[in-house]
Amino acid sequence: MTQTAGHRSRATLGAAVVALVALVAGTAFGAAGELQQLGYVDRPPAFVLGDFIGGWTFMAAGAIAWARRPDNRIGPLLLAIGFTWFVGTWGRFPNESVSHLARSFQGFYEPLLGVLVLAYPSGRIAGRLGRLVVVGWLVEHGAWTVARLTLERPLSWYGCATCPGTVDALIADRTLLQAIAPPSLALSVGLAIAVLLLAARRLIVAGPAGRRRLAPVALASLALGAGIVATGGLRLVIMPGLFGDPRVAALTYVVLTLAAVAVLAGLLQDRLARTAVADLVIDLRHDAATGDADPRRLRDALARALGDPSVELFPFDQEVNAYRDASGAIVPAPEAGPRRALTLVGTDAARVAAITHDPSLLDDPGLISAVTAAIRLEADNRQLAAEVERQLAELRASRARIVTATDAERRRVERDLHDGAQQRLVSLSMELGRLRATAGQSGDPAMVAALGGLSGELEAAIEELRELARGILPPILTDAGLGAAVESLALRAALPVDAEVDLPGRLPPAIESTLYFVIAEGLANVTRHAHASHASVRVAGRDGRVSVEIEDDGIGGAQADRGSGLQGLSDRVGALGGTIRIVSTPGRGTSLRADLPVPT
Amino acid sequence: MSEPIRVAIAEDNVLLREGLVRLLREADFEVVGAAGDPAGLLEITNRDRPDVVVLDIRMPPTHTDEGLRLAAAIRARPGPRIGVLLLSQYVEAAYAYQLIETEAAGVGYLLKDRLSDTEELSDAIRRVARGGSAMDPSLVAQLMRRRRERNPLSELTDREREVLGLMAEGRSNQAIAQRLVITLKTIETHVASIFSKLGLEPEPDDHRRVLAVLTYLRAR
Repeated sequence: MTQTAGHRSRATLGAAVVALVALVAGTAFGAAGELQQLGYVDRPPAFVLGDFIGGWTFMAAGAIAWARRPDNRIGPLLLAIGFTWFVGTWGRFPNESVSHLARSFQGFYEPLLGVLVLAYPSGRIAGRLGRLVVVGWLVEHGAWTVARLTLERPLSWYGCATCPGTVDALIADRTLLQAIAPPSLALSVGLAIAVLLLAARRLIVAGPAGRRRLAPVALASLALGAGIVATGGLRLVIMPGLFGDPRVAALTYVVLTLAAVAVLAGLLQDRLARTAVADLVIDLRHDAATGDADPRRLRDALARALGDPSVELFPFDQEVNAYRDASGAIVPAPEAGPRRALTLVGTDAARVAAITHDPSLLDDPGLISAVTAAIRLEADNRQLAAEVERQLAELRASRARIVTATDAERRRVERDLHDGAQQRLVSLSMELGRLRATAGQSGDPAMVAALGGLSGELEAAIEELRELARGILPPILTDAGLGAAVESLALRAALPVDAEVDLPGRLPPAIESTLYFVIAEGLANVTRHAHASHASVRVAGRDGRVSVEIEDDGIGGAQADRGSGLQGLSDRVGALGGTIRIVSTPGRGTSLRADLPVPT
Repeated sequence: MSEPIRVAIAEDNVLLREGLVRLLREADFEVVGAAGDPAGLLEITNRDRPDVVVLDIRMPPTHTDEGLRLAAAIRARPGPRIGVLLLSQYVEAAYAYQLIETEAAGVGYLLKDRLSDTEELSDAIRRVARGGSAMDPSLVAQLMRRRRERNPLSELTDREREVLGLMAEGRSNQAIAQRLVITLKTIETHVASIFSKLGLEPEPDDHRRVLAVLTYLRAR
């Protein structure tokens, strides 16, 4: 986790350094270029400043975007647009070679703006047509640049080393260049119009949510359009630095600046969208933690995360093998429509949900996959938690059933002993008594003695059986409840015991016997280990719970796990959903406490 | 000999019930009726007004402590007192104290083990019929074994403890003298000494003496 974060921050830092260096270099390049423009009548200072701001804003926006979103190619693209914007400003550099290069390479920002218009915001151009048009435009511009480089030569190439650089450079094959210019320009404008049409189509298809996201495309398209008009005239006269209508130029600067700002804002918003995915995960966790799984809340969280109010969520219900809508009704499987895109969460084997949303969201596949991953993760999590919870409930119920069944079995055995063997033996003993009385009357001392011996044996057997029955389950507990049984225990204990039982009535049998055995075992432990002179037993029940506390004034230091016989009792108490706790400080006595819920 | 003591029986175990009827008739009691449940006993009691009812604690319908509740009901009836002798497979001090809560006159509580000694049983019935008490020796022994914070019982001599136990069972001085084969005079001396050592007021009636002694044994 930490390591991943470390890698990530190093990558971000690297991009930030590169972006900063590029921005500084680009600013210097642009400023130096613009400064050369000052003093020419066709370049009033306001124009120069506007030109600089327009280009620089692109570079700055690009640097920030690159630093913040190193994974997105829009940042470097913006920087490149800003840089190429300034290339033309070096067209009047005193060194002819430099100004020649600048004049030849100027205008590349146009096809790059085209790339921006079609690739924003993901950095990738969707659709073959768009890619074809943009590549065609770049090739066309490259060809024009090569033509200018070769056909339009600086004066110095002809031996005039000291001639001042002017716009009226000697052009060797001006005629040829002039012949190439119109078709080249027509192609360039055609491709630009194609790009603008594709951008318009993107805006129309996008829908309301998508249009909001694509607002920078609209601005950049305007800038492109204005630039084409401006530089179209430029190319027609083949005069670098000459703008057509100054109003068009001014508009171009304003729109260009706005476009750069809008692109940057949009990219950072996309970054916010990623934060929204994190919010979505938190929302989901919150819902899971509070047990509030209202699909409407989930839908709203999803809409926030995707920035698309039209999002609809259809959770898949495994039990009925169908999708449900926000109200919980079963609906047919959602389908993609002309203005709706469909994203499925989960696999065909384990469907989780279907989301219908604005198609423009598909432009940012990272966002969609992050959101679906979050939903799927949460669905898996919930399913696992539900499964664990179900198994746990099953296990609890089964443990409680075992205890209850054991208890019922003890009761049955005790009752059987009482009604069967014990009664028979008593009956037999009574008959033996009668026989003995008769034998006494008829005066047969040997017979009387023999019958007396038998009678004694029988009484011993009855006594043993009684103790056995008590060990299985004390009859007084079944017959009279915990209060009487605890009093009986206290009276039989080998040390003075205070007993206090405060119960509103009888408890369920399994709870009564469990508490009884806890007290019996607790008192036995006090007798065996505590060296106590006194013990107390308190049983209290109210509000659906019952607790028992056995305290002594002995040596303390008792432990639940060491041969105290409490482990079995702890299991028994746990099976009924209760807890058992020992507090035993050496020298300060021992307290054993059991708490149990009482089902109503 | 005077009128035979009229006895009614309630015991749900048929074998035991019939054995008990036979035993008591042979011991010259008049058995006016024998029932298998509380309702049956109440019917007999209302009809035949026995002197003593002998009843089991566990009886239908719940087989828990029906006998105890029936005993309380019979003792609470208006009219001449009917003695109550409870029989059980086990004796519990808690039950004994529930029985003698207000008074010990005409109450008995014996283990069914005692049925093997006809004379013992007959004696208990006669005592209960007279308004005395009959507490099972095992119950008394259990109470006297109890440990307590400060135990004045340890100040008693062995003989005095023996006498105390027999008093707690509900026996008269006469009976104790017979049992221990000593003179009535000696017994009276022992009793006076016991009462003085335990700090109890001397009680003239046997049944009030039982109550006092058992109450003393219960205290911590």
